[in-house]
Amino acid sequence: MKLICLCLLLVSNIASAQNIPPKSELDAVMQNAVKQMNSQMSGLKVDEYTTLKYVSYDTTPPLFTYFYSSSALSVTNQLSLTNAQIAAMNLFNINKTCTSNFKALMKPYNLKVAHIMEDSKTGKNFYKLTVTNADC
Amino acid sequence: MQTAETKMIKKLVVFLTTTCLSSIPSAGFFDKEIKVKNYSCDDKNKIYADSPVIWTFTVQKNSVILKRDFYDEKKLKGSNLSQLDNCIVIDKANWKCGGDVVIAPKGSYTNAEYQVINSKFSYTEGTLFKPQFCKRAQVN
Repeated sequence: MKLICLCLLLVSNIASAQNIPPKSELDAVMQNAVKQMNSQMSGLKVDEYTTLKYVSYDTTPPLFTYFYSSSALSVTNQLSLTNAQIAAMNLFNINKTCTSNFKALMKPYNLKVAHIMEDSKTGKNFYKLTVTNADC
Repeated sequence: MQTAETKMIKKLVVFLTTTCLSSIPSAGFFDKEIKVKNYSCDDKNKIYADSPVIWTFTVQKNSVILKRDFYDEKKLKGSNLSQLDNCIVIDKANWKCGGDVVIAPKGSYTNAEYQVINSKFSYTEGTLFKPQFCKRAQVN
Protein backbone atom coordinates (compact mmCIF):
# COMPACT_ATOMS: atom_id res chain seq x y z
CA MET A 1 0.00 0.00 0.00
CA LYS A 2 1.24 3.40 -0.90
CA LEU A 3 1.48 5.62 2.12
CA ILE A 4 1.11 9.33 1.80
CA CYS A 5 4.51 10.82 2.42
CA LEU A 6 4.33 14.21 4.01
CA CYS A 7 7.00 16.71 3.30
CA LEU A 8 6.87 18.85 6.38
CA LEU A 9 10.07 20.60 5.55
CA LEU A 10 9.56 23.49 7.85
CA VAL A 11 8.78 21.39 10.87
CA SER A 12 11.70 19.14 10.14
CA ASN A 13 13.96 22.15 10.08
CA ILE A 14 12.56 23.25 13.39
CA ALA A 15 13.24 19.91 14.97
CA SER A 16 16.68 19.52 13.55
CA ALA A 17 17.77 22.89 14.84
CA GLN A 18 19.89 22.90 17.96
CA ASN A 19 17.35 24.80 20.02
CA ILE A 20 14.06 23.02 19.71
CA PRO A 21 11.20 25.52 19.68
CA PRO A 22 8.35 25.06 22.12
CA LYS A 23 5.80 22.42 21.30
CA SER A 24 3.15 25.07 20.76
CA GLU A 25 4.92 25.97 17.53
CA LEU A 26 4.87 22.37 16.39
CA ASP A 27 1.16 22.27 17.24
CA ALA A 28 0.42 25.36 15.17
CA VAL A 29 2.23 24.04 12.13
CA MET A 30 0.73 20.56 12.41
CA GLN A 31 -2.78 21.93 12.83
CA ASN A 32 -2.39 24.00 9.70
CA ALA A 33 -1.01 20.95 7.91
CA VAL A 34 -4.12 18.99 8.88
CA LYS A 35 -6.38 21.74 7.60
CA GLN A 36 -4.48 21.96 4.35
CA MET A 37 -4.35 18.21 3.85
CA ASN A 38 -8.02 17.72 4.56
CA SER A 39 -8.92 20.50 2.12
CA GLN A 40 -6.73 19.20 -0.63
CA MET A 41 -6.30 15.48 -0.16
CA SER A 42 -9.28 13.89 1.50
CA GLY A 43 -10.74 11.32 -0.85
CA LEU A 44 -7.37 10.61 -2.38
CA LYS A 45 -7.16 7.07 -3.69
CA VAL A 46 -3.87 5.70 -2.39
CA ASP A 47 -4.06 2.26 -3.92
CA GLU A 48 -6.51 -0.06 -5.62
CA TYR A 49 -8.50 -0.67 -2.42
CA THR A 50 -7.69 2.24 -0.16
CA THR A 51 -8.78 5.86 0.09
CA LEU A 52 -7.53 8.51 2.49
CA LYS A 53 -10.57 9.79 4.38
CA TYR A 54 -8.89 12.49 6.42
CA VAL A 55 -6.06 13.20 8.82
CA SER A 56 -6.12 14.57 12.33
CA TYR A 57 -3.71 15.92 14.91
CA ASP A 58 -4.03 15.66 18.67
CA THR A 59 -1.81 17.92 20.70
CA THR A 60 -1.62 15.81 23.87
CA PRO A 61 0.17 13.57 23.37
CA PRO A 62 1.20 14.76 19.91
CA LEU A 63 -0.40 12.29 17.56
CA PHE A 64 -0.85 12.57 13.81
CA THR A 65 -3.41 10.13 12.45
CA TYR A 66 -4.26 8.94 8.98
CA PHE A 67 -7.79 7.58 8.57
CA TYR A 68 -8.27 5.33 5.58
CA SER A 69 -11.24 3.54 4.10
CA SER A 70 -10.53 0.20 2.45
CA SER A 71 -12.45 -2.36 0.46
CA ALA A 72 -9.66 -4.94 0.81
CA LEU A 73 -11.64 -7.22 3.13
CA SER A 74 -14.77 -7.37 1.00
CA VAL A 75 -12.77 -7.83 -2.18
CA THR A 76 -10.94 -10.79 -0.68
CA ASN A 77 -13.99 -12.12 1.19
CA GLN A 78 -12.23 -11.85 4.53
CA LEU A 79 -13.70 -10.80 7.84
CA SER A 80 -10.37 -9.73 9.25
CA LEU A 81 -6.71 -9.59 8.33
CA THR A 82 -4.53 -12.59 8.88
CA ASN A 83 -1.53 -12.28 11.21
CA ALA A 84 0.77 -12.38 8.21
CA GLN A 85 -1.14 -9.55 6.53
CA ILE A 86 -1.05 -7.46 9.70
CA ALA A 87 2.69 -8.06 10.06
CA ALA A 88 3.28 -7.04 6.46
CA MET A 89 1.20 -3.89 6.84
CA ASN A 90 2.95 -3.00 10.09
CA LEU A 91 6.33 -3.38 8.46
CA PHE A 92 5.27 -1.28 5.50
CA ASN A 93 3.82 1.53 7.63
CA ILE A 94 6.75 1.58 10.05
CA ASN A 95 9.26 1.76 7.22
CA LYS A 96 7.36 4.52 5.49
CA THR A 97 6.82 6.54 8.64
CA CYS A 98 10.38 6.17 9.86
CA THR A 99 11.84 7.28 6.54
CA SER A 100 9.51 10.26 6.22
CA ASN A 101 10.00 13.75 7.58
CA PHE A 102 8.01 12.73 10.62
CA LYS A 103 11.09 10.95 11.90
CA ALA A 104 12.78 14.21 12.83
CA LEU A 105 9.81 15.16 14.98
CA MET A 106 9.22 11.86 16.72
CA LYS A 107 12.11 11.99 19.14
CA PRO A 108 12.21 15.65 20.25
CA TYR A 109 8.44 16.03 20.54
CA ASN A 110 7.51 12.40 21.18
CA LEU A 111 5.28 12.63 18.14
CA LYS A 112 3.42 9.46 17.25
CA VAL A 113 1.93 8.64 13.86
CA ALA A 114 -1.13 6.40 13.65
CA HIS A 115 -2.69 4.60 10.70
CA ILE A 116 -6.31 3.55 11.08
CA MET A 117 -8.19 1.66 8.42
CA GLU A 118 -11.92 1.07 8.31
CA ASP A 119 -13.80 -1.39 6.19
CA SER A 120 -15.61 0.59 3.49
CA LYS A 121 -18.59 -1.75 3.68
CA THR A 122 -19.20 -1.99 7.42
CA GLY A 123 -17.41 1.09 8.70
CA LYS A 124 -15.61 -0.97 11.32
CA ASN A 125 -11.94 -0.39 11.98
CA PHE A 126 -9.95 -3.47 11.07
CA TYR A 127 -6.41 -2.19 11.28
CA LYS A 128 -4.66 0.23 13.58
CA LEU A 129 -0.99 0.90 14.08
CA THR A 130 0.68 3.65 16.09
CA VAL A 131 4.29 4.24 15.15
CA THR A 132 6.55 5.72 17.83
CA ASN A 133 10.18 6.76 17.80
CA ALA A 134 11.10 3.45 19.42
CA ASP A 135 9.81 1.61 16.33
CA CYS A 136 12.32 3.47 14.20
CA MET B 1 -48.67 32.69 -37.35
CA GLN B 2 -45.25 34.28 -37.40
CA THR B 3 -43.76 35.46 -40.60
CA ALA B 4 -40.27 34.51 -41.61
CA GLU B 5 -39.22 38.07 -41.01
CA THR B 6 -40.52 38.05 -37.41
CA LYS B 7 -38.71 34.79 -36.69
CA MET B 8 -35.52 36.20 -38.08
CA ILE B 9 -35.78 39.32 -35.93
CA LYS B 10 -36.39 37.22 -32.80
CA LYS B 11 -33.34 35.08 -33.54
CA LEU B 12 -31.28 38.20 -34.09
CA VAL B 13 -32.40 39.72 -30.78
CA VAL B 14 -31.53 36.53 -28.87
CA PHE B 15 -28.16 36.30 -30.59
CA LEU B 16 -27.25 39.91 -29.90
CA THR B 17 -28.37 39.75 -26.28
CA THR B 18 -26.39 36.57 -25.66
CA THR B 19 -23.30 37.93 -27.36
CA CYS B 20 -23.50 41.19 -25.46
CA LEU B 21 -23.95 39.65 -22.02
CA SER B 22 -21.34 36.95 -22.46
CA SER B 23 -18.76 39.54 -23.45
CA ILE B 24 -18.93 41.09 -19.99
CA PRO B 25 -16.95 38.73 -17.73
CA SER B 26 -18.16 40.17 -14.47
CA ALA B 27 -21.75 40.70 -15.45
CA GLY B 28 -22.79 37.68 -13.48
CA PHE B 29 -25.39 36.49 -15.94
CA PHE B 30 -23.40 33.39 -16.77
CA ASP B 31 -21.81 32.82 -13.40
CA LYS B 32 -21.69 29.21 -12.39
CA GLU B 33 -20.00 27.09 -9.81
CA ILE B 34 -16.48 26.05 -10.70
CA LYS B 35 -15.98 22.29 -10.80
CA VAL B 36 -12.59 20.62 -10.83
CA LYS B 37 -11.81 16.91 -11.07
CA ASN B 38 -8.75 15.57 -9.26
CA TYR B 39 -7.28 12.19 -10.08
CA SER B 40 -4.71 10.10 -8.28
CA CYS B 41 -2.41 7.56 -9.91
CA ASP B 42 -0.91 4.25 -8.98
CA ASP B 43 2.83 3.61 -8.67
CA LYS B 44 3.08 3.16 -12.43
CA ASN B 45 1.42 6.52 -13.05
CA LYS B 46 -1.81 4.94 -14.25
CA ILE B 47 -4.76 7.22 -13.48
CA TYR B 48 -7.60 5.95 -11.32
CA ALA B 49 -10.07 7.38 -13.81
CA ASP B 50 -13.21 6.12 -12.07
CA SER B 51 -12.21 7.46 -8.67
CA PRO B 52 -11.90 11.23 -8.89
CA VAL B 53 -12.36 13.76 -6.16
CA ILE B 54 -14.57 16.54 -7.48
CA TRP B 55 -14.13 20.02 -6.06
CA THR B 56 -17.06 22.41 -6.39
CA PHE B 57 -16.44 26.02 -5.41
CA THR B 58 -19.38 28.14 -4.34
CA VAL B 59 -18.91 31.86 -3.86
CA GLN B 60 -21.12 33.58 -1.33
CA LYS B 61 -20.46 37.25 -0.69
CA ASN B 62 -16.79 37.38 0.30
CA SER B 63 -16.32 33.72 1.11
CA VAL B 64 -15.67 30.61 -0.93
CA ILE B 65 -16.99 27.23 0.10
CA LEU B 66 -15.26 24.12 -1.20
CA LYS B 67 -17.38 21.00 -1.52
CA ARG B 68 -15.55 17.75 -2.10
CA ASP B 69 -17.27 14.70 -3.56
CA PHE B 70 -15.32 11.46 -3.36
CA TYR B 71 -15.92 8.81 -5.98
CA ASP B 72 -14.65 5.26 -6.03
CA GLU B 73 -15.34 3.08 -9.05
CA LYS B 74 -17.82 5.71 -10.27
CA LYS B 75 -19.82 5.59 -7.03
CA LEU B 76 -20.16 8.58 -4.75
CA LYS B 77 -18.60 7.54 -1.47
CA GLY B 78 -18.86 10.75 0.51
CA SER B 79 -18.84 14.51 0.54
CA ASN B 80 -17.75 17.28 2.82
CA LEU B 81 -17.51 21.04 3.00
CA SER B 82 -14.99 23.59 4.12
CA GLN B 83 -14.59 27.32 3.90
CA LEU B 84 -11.40 28.50 2.24
CA ASP B 85 -9.16 30.99 4.01
CA ASN B 86 -7.57 34.20 2.90
CA CYS B 87 -10.00 34.95 0.06
CA ILE B 88 -10.24 37.93 -2.23
CA VAL B 89 -13.57 37.88 -4.06
CA ILE B 90 -14.54 40.18 -6.90
CA ASP B 91 -17.38 38.04 -8.17
CA LYS B 92 -18.12 34.38 -8.85
CA ALA B 93 -15.91 34.38 -11.90
CA ASN B 94 -12.96 36.16 -10.31
CA TRP B 95 -11.58 35.23 -6.91
CA LYS B 96 -8.54 33.89 -5.14
CA CYS B 97 -8.07 31.99 -1.87
CA GLY B 98 -5.13 30.61 0.07
CA GLY B 99 -1.57 31.27 -1.03
CA ASP B 100 -0.76 32.84 2.29
CA VAL B 101 2.75 32.59 3.64
CA VAL B 102 2.91 31.15 7.13
CA ILE B 103 5.82 32.47 9.13
CA ALA B 104 7.46 30.32 11.78
CA PRO B 105 10.61 30.97 13.83
CA LYS B 106 12.89 28.81 11.68
CA GLY B 107 11.39 29.39 8.28
CA SER B 108 8.20 29.83 6.35
CA TYR B 109 5.95 27.95 3.96
CA THR B 110 3.15 28.76 1.56
CA ASN B 111 -0.32 27.31 1.62
CA ALA B 112 -1.93 26.12 -1.60
CA GLU B 113 -3.59 28.77 -3.73
CA TYR B 114 -6.90 28.48 -5.58
CA GLN B 115 -7.59 31.11 -8.20
CA VAL B 116 -10.35 31.78 -10.70
CA ILE B 117 -9.92 34.49 -13.31
CA ASN B 118 -12.70 34.94 -15.86
CA SER B 119 -14.04 31.54 -14.76
CA LYS B 120 -10.76 29.76 -15.48
CA PHE B 121 -9.47 27.80 -12.51
CA SER B 122 -5.82 27.51 -11.56
CA TYR B 123 -4.16 25.90 -8.59
CA THR B 124 -0.74 26.30 -7.06
CA GLU B 125 0.48 23.58 -4.74
CA GLY B 126 1.51 24.55 -1.24
CA THR B 127 5.05 23.96 -0.06
CA LEU B 128 4.14 22.14 3.14
CA PHE B 129 3.71 18.70 1.62
CA LYS B 130 4.20 16.90 -1.65
CA PRO B 131 1.45 17.01 -4.29
CA GLN B 132 -0.66 13.87 -4.24
CA PHE B 133 -3.06 14.14 -7.17
CA CYS B 134 -1.41 13.43 -10.51
CA LYS B 135 -4.03 15.08 -12.73
CA ARG B 136 -6.41 17.95 -12.25
CA ALA B 137 -8.91 19.37 -14.75
CA GLN B 138 -11.66 21.95 -14.71
CA VAL B 139 -14.87 20.43 -16.01
CA ASN B 140 -16.94 23.53 -16.74
